[in-house]
Amino acid sequence: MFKNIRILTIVLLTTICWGCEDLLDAPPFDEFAPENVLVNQEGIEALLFNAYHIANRHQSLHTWTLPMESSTDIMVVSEGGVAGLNSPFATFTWTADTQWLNEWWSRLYQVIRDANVVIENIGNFEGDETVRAVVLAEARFLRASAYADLYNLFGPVVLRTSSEEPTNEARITEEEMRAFIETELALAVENLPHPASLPTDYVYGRATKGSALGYLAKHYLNTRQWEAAAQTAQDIIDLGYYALEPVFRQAFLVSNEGNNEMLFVWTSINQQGYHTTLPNGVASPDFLSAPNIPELVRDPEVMAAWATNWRVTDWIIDAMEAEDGRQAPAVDEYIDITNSVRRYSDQRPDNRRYMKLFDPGGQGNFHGVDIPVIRYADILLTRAEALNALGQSIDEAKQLVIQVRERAGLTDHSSIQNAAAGDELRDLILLERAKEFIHEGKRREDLVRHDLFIANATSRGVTVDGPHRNRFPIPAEEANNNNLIVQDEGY
Amino acid sequence: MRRGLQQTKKSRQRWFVAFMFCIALMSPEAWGQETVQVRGKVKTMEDNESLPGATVIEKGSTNGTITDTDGNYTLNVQPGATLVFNFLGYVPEEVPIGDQTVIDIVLVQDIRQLQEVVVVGYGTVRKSDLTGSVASIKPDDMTAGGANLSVEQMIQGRVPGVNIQSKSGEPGGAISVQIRGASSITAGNQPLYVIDGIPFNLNSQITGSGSGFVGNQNPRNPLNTINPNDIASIEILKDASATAIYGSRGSNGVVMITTKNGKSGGLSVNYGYAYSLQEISNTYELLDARQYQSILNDLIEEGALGTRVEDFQGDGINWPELLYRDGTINEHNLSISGGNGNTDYYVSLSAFDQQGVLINSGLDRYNLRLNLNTKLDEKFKLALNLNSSFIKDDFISNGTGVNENSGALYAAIYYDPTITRVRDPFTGRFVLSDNQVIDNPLALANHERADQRTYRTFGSISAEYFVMPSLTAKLKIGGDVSSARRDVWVGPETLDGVATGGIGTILNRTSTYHIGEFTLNYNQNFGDHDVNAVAGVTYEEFNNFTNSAEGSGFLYPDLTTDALGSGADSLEFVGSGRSQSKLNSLLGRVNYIYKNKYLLTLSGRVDGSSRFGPNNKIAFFPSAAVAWKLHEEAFLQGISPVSELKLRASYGAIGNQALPNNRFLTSFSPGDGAVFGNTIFGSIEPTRFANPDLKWESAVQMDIGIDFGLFDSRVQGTIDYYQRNTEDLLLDVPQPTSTGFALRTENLGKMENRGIELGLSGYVIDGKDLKWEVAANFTTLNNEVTDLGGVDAFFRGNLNFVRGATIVDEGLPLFSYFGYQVDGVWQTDDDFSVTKTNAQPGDWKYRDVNGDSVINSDDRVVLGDSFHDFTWGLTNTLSYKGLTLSVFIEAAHGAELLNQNLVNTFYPITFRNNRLAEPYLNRWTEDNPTNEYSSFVRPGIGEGFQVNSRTVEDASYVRLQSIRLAYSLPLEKLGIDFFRSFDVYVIGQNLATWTDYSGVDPAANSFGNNNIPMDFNAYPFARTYTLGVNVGL
Repeated sequence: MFKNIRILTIVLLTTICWGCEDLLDAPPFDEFAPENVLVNQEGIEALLFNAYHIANRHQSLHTWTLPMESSTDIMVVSEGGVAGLNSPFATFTWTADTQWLNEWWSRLYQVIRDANVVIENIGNFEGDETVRAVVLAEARFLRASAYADLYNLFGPVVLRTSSEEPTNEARITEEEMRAFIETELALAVENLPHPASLPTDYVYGRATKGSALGYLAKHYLNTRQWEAAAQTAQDIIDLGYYALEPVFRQAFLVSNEGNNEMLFVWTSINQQGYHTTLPNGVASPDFLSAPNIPELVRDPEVMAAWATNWRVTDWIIDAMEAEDGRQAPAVDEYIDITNSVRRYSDQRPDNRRYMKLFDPGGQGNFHGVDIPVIRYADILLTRAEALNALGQSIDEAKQLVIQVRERAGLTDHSSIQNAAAGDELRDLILLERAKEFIHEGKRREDLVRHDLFIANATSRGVTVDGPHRNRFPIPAEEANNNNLIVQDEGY
Repeated sequence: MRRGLQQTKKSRQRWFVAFMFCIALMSPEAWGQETVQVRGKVKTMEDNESLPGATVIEKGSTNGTITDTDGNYTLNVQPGATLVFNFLGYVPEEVPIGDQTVIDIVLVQDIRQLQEVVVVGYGTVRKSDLTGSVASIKPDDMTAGGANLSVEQMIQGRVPGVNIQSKSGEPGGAISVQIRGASSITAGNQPLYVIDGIPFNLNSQITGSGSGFVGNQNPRNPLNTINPNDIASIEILKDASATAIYGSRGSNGVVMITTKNGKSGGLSVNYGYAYSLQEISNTYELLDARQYQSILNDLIEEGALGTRVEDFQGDGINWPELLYRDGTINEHNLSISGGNGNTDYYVSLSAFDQQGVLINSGLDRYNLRLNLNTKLDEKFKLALNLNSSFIKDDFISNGTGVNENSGALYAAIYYDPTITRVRDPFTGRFVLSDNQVIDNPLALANHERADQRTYRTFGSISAEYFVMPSLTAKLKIGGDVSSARRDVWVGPETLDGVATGGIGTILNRTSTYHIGEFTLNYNQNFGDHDVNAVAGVTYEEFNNFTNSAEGSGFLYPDLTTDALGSGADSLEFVGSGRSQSKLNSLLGRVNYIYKNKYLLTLSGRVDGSSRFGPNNKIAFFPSAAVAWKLHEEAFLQGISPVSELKLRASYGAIGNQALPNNRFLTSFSPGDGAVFGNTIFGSIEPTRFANPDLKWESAVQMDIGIDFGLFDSRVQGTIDYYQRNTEDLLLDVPQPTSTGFALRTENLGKMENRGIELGLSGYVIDGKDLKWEVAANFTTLNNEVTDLGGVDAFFRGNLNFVRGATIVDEGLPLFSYFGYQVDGVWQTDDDFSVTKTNAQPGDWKYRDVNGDSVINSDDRVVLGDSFHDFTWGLTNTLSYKGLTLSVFIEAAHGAELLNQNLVNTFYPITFRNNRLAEPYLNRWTEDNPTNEYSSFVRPGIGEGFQVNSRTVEDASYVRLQSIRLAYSLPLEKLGIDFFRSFDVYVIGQNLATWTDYSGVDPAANSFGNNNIPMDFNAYPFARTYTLGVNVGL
């Protein structure tokens, strides 16, 4: 029996080693330790790409486009569950709890989070100095553009520039906010590649000088720094690379992706996770095809058309002159699922659909059309608007607007030519922008920077409880958990 | 070999003599006195079999021995000594030796239930010696044989303090089990299951549902791997004293499952067969095609937006009916057991085949069990427990998605009933609705399918050595290997599959677990003092290996997942993962009994876990309990009717570590990748917001209880009051989202559960032939989040368009439903000036709680919670000779449930979706100015208001859970001696439910979290009729 005891003792001692801390090490086999992965170009780029991926709104585009446009006079969302989620924006009743606010906020801060780590670890990046400078510039661009978006939506926010900051942090001032965005974007411009001479493995969709300058121009414009806006727009024109696509509709076709009009896009492909579903919401459930969109024939067995009906308002389509190429994507007459010809406008007011962004090669609900974030037409109109605001070079301003109109196929520009500088021309430029950028999510900021956002809503019969609605409140998810946040007055 | 054996034997003898000598030396009387050798045999009263392993001790000393395999003993004692014979479960006998040198003794089995032996952590105790709160169920208490589809069902409604709810009627479907409420907000609230002494790994299942397949938040029950017929007893450890020995896994209670062993005696063969028929207990009452047409068109006329319902031929289709069928269960159980004095064995085989009440769903289960105990010699015992199972699950696509992401049942409920054909007669394709984005229900049911094969084997080998009569050492090695593969196929006949020519996914998971455990057991009597102690050390390791492969773009989809490679190369995806966790523990318990009246138990466990940061890996969970057997006191002796009365009190701390691995560690994981141009580039993303200081959640639990027996234990009962305060909650604390993270697991906050538990059983009639036994239990539960450590209230429970259905806030029960109070419906003559909202007659009237004339999120109020205020169960068993009738009623009161099907009826996400009939047939119109239902003309205005006092319903119920009628053939009378026993029975289950809840079942929960119940197209609950026979040979 001693033998048994001995066996037991040995087994006990060898198999059970109490107190050995190492015994309790269970490394996460399927995760990377920071010290293993952020040590070279591949690892740092992989994190940078994550920031790009999060910044890209393709998958949830509607949470961006719908509120930015249905809170203005160019879009109506009336049905489906999405209409419920969107209704606080349409009715100006959003609160800090409203769902999509935190979607924007947390997404942008995730971009900032990853960009910060890239910038912190850029020293580990060995190899080509110029590649390293570009990666650093891309990270700066992603971070600064995220802050520009945050500022545009929420006003001054919490500035996080390192991964080591305390969780509770106060908002910075307007001046600090602007200074950071402007300085950082300028730094990014310096080292980002020129769009005409991209490094060989620098694939379309990554940031270029044009992207950063575009963001900077839009930031100056939205903050009414007219002179800087006009100058930055001019810098972009001077890059000598960008141009308007000859035919308006062509600028957005999948077959024409990568054209010279795009300064920055959210790239999409027709694969789940990298797709957009905008066409599902735009098409009515009975939509099959439309004569003016020959590329798209919906197979109802493949592509769902949601109940939600993202409709474009009548006035903006009706405001387009007959030959305006921007009317081309507006669908009224369509073939329905029973092969009958129907008209959206017969069914109810404000019911037409704008099919600018779609993918004939969509796989089911996965549409792979690139979503323009900043394009050259925007830059031309930015300079025009800024010059008009400055009261300088009005002729040049008008010529820039006419350039955009001509591309749309218009020939009579007398309204622009005859417009008086100042408010009259500004209103015409805003109208031009409204026609030009349907589904590009720009209408809200256009109205806000001229203090027209609330008046525009009131004129539609929407009750607005105060000027605080020009900005969104800090989302509850932040305000409730960061005890240094001071919420905007009115919210 | 022989020589070796002999040597071993010799050395063994030598060692034994030496050991005995040492013991003798310790005894003060040993010196210089002569001893008398006494020998004899110990037998049992019942079957006159010899009783091996009984202890024979010289009273008042440590001198003793145990009987050998033939029940014989030999012991040298002082002249005039008294021998004490003891065997667990038998009445101890004391015999003064007088002049005898041969003393044979017959031990009588202790029939009083309080003397029953119950299994506790790392040992057994007499029920009468329990100091903690432990409930025990033996098969006699359960409606045994064929009636139990799961282990949980054996416990459901029968044990106070244990709340068990089937979340759906799915074959082998998920079951919510909670012991004494919920102790954690973020970490798990499931009890620890221990099967034959080995902790059972609940987390071995495949997660993820496969591309294009609707996700089901409730995986099937992992305990399906156990055959309920193999179970000999189930013990539920509830208070800290009982569970502290399981330390970090004990705070949600422990369920000890003990399987059957062979009995010494001859071969015993049992065979049972049961056939069950299942029918859906409660179907959805939807608008029929005519009602649908007229009501929807009326709605449009009254101003609703939508497409008119055109005329149609025939009566339309009741789509859910096409998915329903009668379910069947065929179950075979064969067990062979027996044993002689040295070895006993129990072998069982079972086959279980269930066809669910929805087409293309079912469960096949094959189980094999071997339990073997053998004594190598009088001091050395080996035991083997082995369970092996094969389970094949058939899944119909049924989950929580909506629209084109929905499953078959959702599609069937909401599909346009005026569609008159399933398939287009010309193209052969499934007919799609022109006005809905839902796929055809039958396309989903037949062509979006998954099946899973799970092979799981677990068991243990233990070697026990009786160092001396009072001390045993035990080494136990256990393991558990589960290997599962799920094949998911989304055929080109479906909307999801048509674009890609079918999508096939294979998900594999292998989970392994092993444990090494060494324990010492000490059991000694010192006159008035009884000491029973256990100490041990364990090491446990969990490993998971997963991989998945996906293919689509099949040119010829016939081979489905059997040939994923036949899809397009560019659409192939693979993935894999691996994880590990470890536990290393010291455990111990001391039971001390003085004069068989005063009992003290100290127990505890030191646990080290790999799940926590370097500073907090190790924690200690202690407990103490005292008990006083009042009935042993002189002042209660002979005082009728009290035959037993024991007071108990316990206090202790127990832990919870049920959270994912590595929450303390900063790391990066493969990300989704970013698309540039038309190429996806790989990416990495931060895995989590790490918390290096993460530590154990601990629950301090106090329990006061009374056990009593009346009228010579004809009535027995137990009463407990408990209070459990969990602190340092493992909580996913909402972070300022500007950190880039939404949550971080922290130790924050406190929660309290308290309640009263009553259990009572007894014989109303206890005649020779006629017996009427009543067993009843009653439980109250009060759950409250008492502290959130400064974190603001937060919301949980997102399902489709319902966001944040519940609130977590201080002073409220965990996950309280939070939404709008509906005061009725706006009537034509109401004063509309009181509201700034665009209300119209017929709209829901939500209460403007803060009086600002606007209805928004500030007007939300608490609408209820998922914790039952009280639950009760009542079993009546009437037996007359061989005939037994048992009626079991189970009830729960005071919990609420969010009826998501009502949400989808009140606030349809697509106009042409079908709806539940009743609200629409009685909707508000100018002629029917009801406050019961809105006009539903403008449901859109309600969006965001889905969680309200009408959709959150009272889910109280009283359920006639089962009636069982069994007859044992009087074989002797009939002169049949071929069978040892022959029983036939019929059982009806889930026969009737009385409830105000308007959905299909008040226990339905399609949401993954058991404490945020949401009834949403749950797999239909079934009524089951079983006919069975059990034969003993």
